[in-house]
Amino acid sequence: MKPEKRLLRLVLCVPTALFFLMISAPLYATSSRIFVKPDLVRIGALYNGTRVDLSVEIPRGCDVIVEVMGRDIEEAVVQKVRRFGLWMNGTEIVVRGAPSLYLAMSSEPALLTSPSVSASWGYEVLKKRVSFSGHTKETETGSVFKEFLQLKESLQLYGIFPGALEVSSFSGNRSTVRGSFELPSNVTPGTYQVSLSVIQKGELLFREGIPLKVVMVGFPELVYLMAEKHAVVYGFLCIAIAALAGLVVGLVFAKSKPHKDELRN
Amino acid sequence: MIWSLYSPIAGYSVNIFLLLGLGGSVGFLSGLCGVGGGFLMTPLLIMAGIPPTVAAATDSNQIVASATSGAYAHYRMGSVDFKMGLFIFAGGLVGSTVGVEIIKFMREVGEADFFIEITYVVLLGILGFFMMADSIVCLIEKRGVPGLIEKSKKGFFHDRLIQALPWKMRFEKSGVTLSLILPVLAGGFVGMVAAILGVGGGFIMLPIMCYVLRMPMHVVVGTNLFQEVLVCANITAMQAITNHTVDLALALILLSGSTVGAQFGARVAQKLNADHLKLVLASVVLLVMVKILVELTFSPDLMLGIMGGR
Repeated sequence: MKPEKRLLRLVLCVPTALFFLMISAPLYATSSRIFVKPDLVRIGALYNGTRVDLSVEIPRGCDVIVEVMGRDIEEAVVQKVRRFGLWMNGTEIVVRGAPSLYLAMSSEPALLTSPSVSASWGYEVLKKRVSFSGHTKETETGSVFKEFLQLKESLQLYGIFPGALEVSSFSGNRSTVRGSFELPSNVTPGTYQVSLSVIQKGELLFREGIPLKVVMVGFPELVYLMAEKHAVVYGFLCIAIAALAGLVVGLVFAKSKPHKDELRN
Repeated sequence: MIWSLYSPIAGYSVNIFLLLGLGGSVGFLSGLCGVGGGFLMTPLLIMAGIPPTVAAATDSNQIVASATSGAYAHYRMGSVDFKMGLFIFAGGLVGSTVGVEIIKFMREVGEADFFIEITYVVLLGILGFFMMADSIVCLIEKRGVPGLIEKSKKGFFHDRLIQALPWKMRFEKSGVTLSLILPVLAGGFVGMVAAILGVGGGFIMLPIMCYVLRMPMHVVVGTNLFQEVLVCANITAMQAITNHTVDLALALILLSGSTVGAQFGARVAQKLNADHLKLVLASVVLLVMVKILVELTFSPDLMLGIMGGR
């Protein structure tokens, strides 16, 4: 190869390499992978909710919001009414577009306590998504949504945790964020989305997410599947086990104590 | 927490020691006072966070165990009238089926939980009041006011009505002759209430056997336990098939507590004053009733509830 051609190639290659380096650097800066542990939650016989730890590396100087969300469900709720001096279920309301689980936590408390109008996280976003139909007036939507949040929070299925994420260490232009959330005992099996929103100066820089699977295993799974899919067999099995247990206990105690007829003899 | 039991039907975790304690203490009380104990177990399970429909259905299942244990002990003593028990069960079969359908309907209209709770308030109120009154009367009588109970038991109109009913049959074990309609009707009514509340129905059936069917006391408890086994087995099957609300995991822990507790209760009962025991049980029943009533009367913390329970 001629020296001129070699020089020309070098002249072309250097800017090309520099160009690729330039475009890949922001990509590196704006990509983060979220890690959750455990990444598969097993509901076994002794399950009583579980703590899920999470960690993520984000560009230095950024804030972060992590949301854990279930799929949207349609569910019927009832509003309590007072009749004859007693509180009973009254008006039925159908709720659409509400996730089965919604937990949100942030590194900067203000991001969740006083989110900006353009924020794409928190209860304000849910308010726009959720719709109520049935025996409810348009004007009551705000108060019904508030009551709906109270119901879900009491079941530990919804929760907002401002400042629950901790920016723990720095390396170069990256910082590590750690936190954890509690999956409640009444969480239903399914796939949940753990979403990460990286925010810089109040604006959303990028968003990423990973799935978190919750599965029923072992004895609860067996009982649930039997009860739902083989109800007849399950019903008779329950009776047989209970009767057998009663008989065994009766026999054990009868052996330890002579009954009246034996005493007479 | 490792000592929690996950109930797959309720979709909720409950502390195992709490369940064992509930099963054991209710079983102990029932063995102590000669009643089933289901009428206490279901409201206590509801207070522990189990949805009323699951609590009622699962309680029926655990009663099969405790009643089998008790009925077997009475069978060994020769104090079970199987013939009477089968007629009561025939009525109970229809009654409990109707009860399960009522609960199904109430779940559909979203009033099942309220319906169960208000039925409890009424029945526990009546039961607690009469038990307390009865034990106080017995205590007074023992202090020298005889004839108070005998007077109240007299019922000439009731006797004439029983004699007028058709299809009479002799029940040798109980030593009574009466119309088949009575045990079938009694079984039907108690079976329906039992299905709605998730109880064995003993606390209603025992007075009916004594005062309506005129059965002697030594046969009443064993026969009642025998019919409870059959009625609760039917309710368990119906609830499992129709409503899918029987939780075997929960029932297993409860029955392991209640069957053992009942045996200890029965032994302690032999050493203690029966009237004082009845007074204690009446107080517990009234306390549970007041607790449920207070929850229904005072403004709830949450103005929304999930349709059909949790």
